Amino acid sequence: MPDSHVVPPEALNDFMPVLMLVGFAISFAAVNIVGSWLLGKKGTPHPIKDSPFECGMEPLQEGRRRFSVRFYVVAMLFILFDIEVVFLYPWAVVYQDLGMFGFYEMLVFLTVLFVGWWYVVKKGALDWNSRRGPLRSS
Amino acid sequence: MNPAELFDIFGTEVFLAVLALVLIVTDLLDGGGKLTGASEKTRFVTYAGLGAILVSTFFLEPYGDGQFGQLDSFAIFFKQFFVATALLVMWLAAPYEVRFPAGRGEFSMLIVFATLGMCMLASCNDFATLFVGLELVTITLFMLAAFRPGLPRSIEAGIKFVIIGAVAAGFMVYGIAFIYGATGSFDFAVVHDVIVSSEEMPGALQFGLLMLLVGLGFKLGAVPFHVWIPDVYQGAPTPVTAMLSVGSKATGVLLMMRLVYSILGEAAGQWTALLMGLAFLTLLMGNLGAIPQTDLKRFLGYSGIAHAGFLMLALATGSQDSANAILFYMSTYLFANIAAFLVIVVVSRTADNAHMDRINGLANRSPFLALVLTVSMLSLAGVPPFAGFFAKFMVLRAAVDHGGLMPVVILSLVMVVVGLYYYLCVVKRIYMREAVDSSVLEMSGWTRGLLLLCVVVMFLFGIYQSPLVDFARAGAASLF
Amino acid sequence: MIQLEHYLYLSGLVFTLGLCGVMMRRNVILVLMGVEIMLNAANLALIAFNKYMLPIDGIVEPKGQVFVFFTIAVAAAEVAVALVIAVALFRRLDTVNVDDVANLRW
Repeated sequence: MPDSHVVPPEALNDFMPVLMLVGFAISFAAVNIVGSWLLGKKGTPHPIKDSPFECGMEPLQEGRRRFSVRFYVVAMLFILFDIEVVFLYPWAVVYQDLGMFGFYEMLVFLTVLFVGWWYVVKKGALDWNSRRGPLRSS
Repeated sequence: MNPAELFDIFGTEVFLAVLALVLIVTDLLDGGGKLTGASEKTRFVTYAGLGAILVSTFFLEPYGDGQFGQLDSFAIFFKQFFVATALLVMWLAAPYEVRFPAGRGEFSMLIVFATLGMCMLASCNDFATLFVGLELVTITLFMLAAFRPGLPRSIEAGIKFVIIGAVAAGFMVYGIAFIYGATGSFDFAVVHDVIVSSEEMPGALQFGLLMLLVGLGFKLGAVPFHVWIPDVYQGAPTPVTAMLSVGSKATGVLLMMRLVYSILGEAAGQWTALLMGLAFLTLLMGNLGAIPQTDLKRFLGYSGIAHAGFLMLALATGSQDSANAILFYMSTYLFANIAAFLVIVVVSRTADNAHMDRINGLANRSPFLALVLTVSMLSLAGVPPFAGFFAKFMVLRAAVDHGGLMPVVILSLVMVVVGLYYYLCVVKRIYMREAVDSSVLEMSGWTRGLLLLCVVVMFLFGIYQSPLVDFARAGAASLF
Repeated sequence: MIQLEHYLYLSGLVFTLGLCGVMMRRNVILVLMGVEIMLNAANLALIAFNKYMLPIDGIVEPKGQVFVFFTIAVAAAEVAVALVIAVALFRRLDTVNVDDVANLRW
């Protein structure tokens, strides 16, 4: 196994503020929880006591709602096209060294992506109000 | 990698990629906005494109090593194999395609993309190419397995395939990471040098190779990783099952061969015991599992596991003879399976399952189909006048020559007898049972032609093997 | 001091956690999250190996990091397909529990 690089200790100083912030966050949360446990009133639970007094309306339905499946379709397409862009960053970094070959290569890549996008549009996957979609069961 | 080298090595892949894009565009221009669009144009483009590419593969010249791939005679053999498989599967799918709600264009396109991945794997000499190619194959096959979302069976196959496939991919990437860590490279040749030059394989490398074996065993359907096969084979649409059983298995075989012969090379002896153990279990599981099956596709799934056992036995042998035997075996297996699945497509036309009752009394309903299925079953079982016999014979001869594999050889002989039993049970249904429904089985001239082709190939290479043996030998030659 | 071993321990731990998630969860979406965690563990191992690789002629080629790009892209494609199938499963069988998907057996 290769030898490890040695990280100089002073490099850790840069992270000191972060470490302090973490410590502060943890202690703040701990103080609040322990404090409320110590100071809070302990008594027998009762439905009226536990109700949200003067805190707005009684909840009428469950807080969680089911999303329309259309969100998932759009989210999936977003993931795909978003992740493809991962290849653009390293390309952009070495673009100067690649010359024209790199340019044409990226053109091919984008053409393929474009065909994919055209497919998505044509199939109506981005058509919010349409009744057809790629996931219609038959 | 410069463009010229890219084209010399990955020419077939470039053509396939262009074909896939052309298929999408054709489908879109041809009213692809309608989800039920099933156009003649896409069908024509697929056949013409795949046919032209198949012809072009016969003009490929070995090129040698490139940066991400290599083109040796072995790679060329498998490129021909995969493109031929794709063409046969598309041909087989013709009578089935009307049942796809999502249109035929996507089906052709996905098959072409899967073939593209398979061809990439045929000429990979780098783990990056291997990973991307393998995932291209697997992901397209996930989609294809769930290609009839109206059928719960198909979705179930898809979800099981996705989960197990993704876990196998996870194992494989983890393995590749450790291989990289131990050798500092993704190149097969560098990994091979490290393995051969070190007296004892570094632990990280050994671990990485074992994890890689998990991923490849999944594709091949070797025993601890075979669990997906019966369910997915049964649930997936029949043409997709055909693609899985031939193409996907062949990718596993091909990569195992690269792993054993090229990456391990002289050190392959260290793995003989492991591969032998896997072959033993695979043979046992596949053959015994096939006996009680009542669904034809599931039955062929277990039969496929049994055949994977034979291929593992040949891999454990690790000799040049066994490499020839594997290529010959895969070629005969291709035609036997395509014939069997095409009969299933025709027979289960009216219903959406492939229960074995459907072939009861097939001899009375259609003597031709009965003959085709019988020949296919006998070839798979390894009965003498057919090609499958010679394939099994070559594997066993190579294994016997090796000497150290006796327990598995004896088991495989027993399993050939067991196999004979369950394949003959199918034949018995064809000839001895009363038909459940006696409606006329229609098929087009093209379907008839494909069936005839398969029968002729199985029979011809059963009695006159030398052209195919020479072809396989030429293919395997570059591994040594 | 953080060394290669520590990254590998972490990646092994994450990989195992992902595998446990895949095996123990019953919700398809959570199973897929487990798979993603496994792939990310592999990514971590790749990058750690690349970081601590001994230089040849004074340079370390970032091969491992480039491989991670491929892994990320492939994982995204895989998860998109898996989600599509999960959505189809939900529409057809009204469940995302893998235990309910067991009609094909034996």
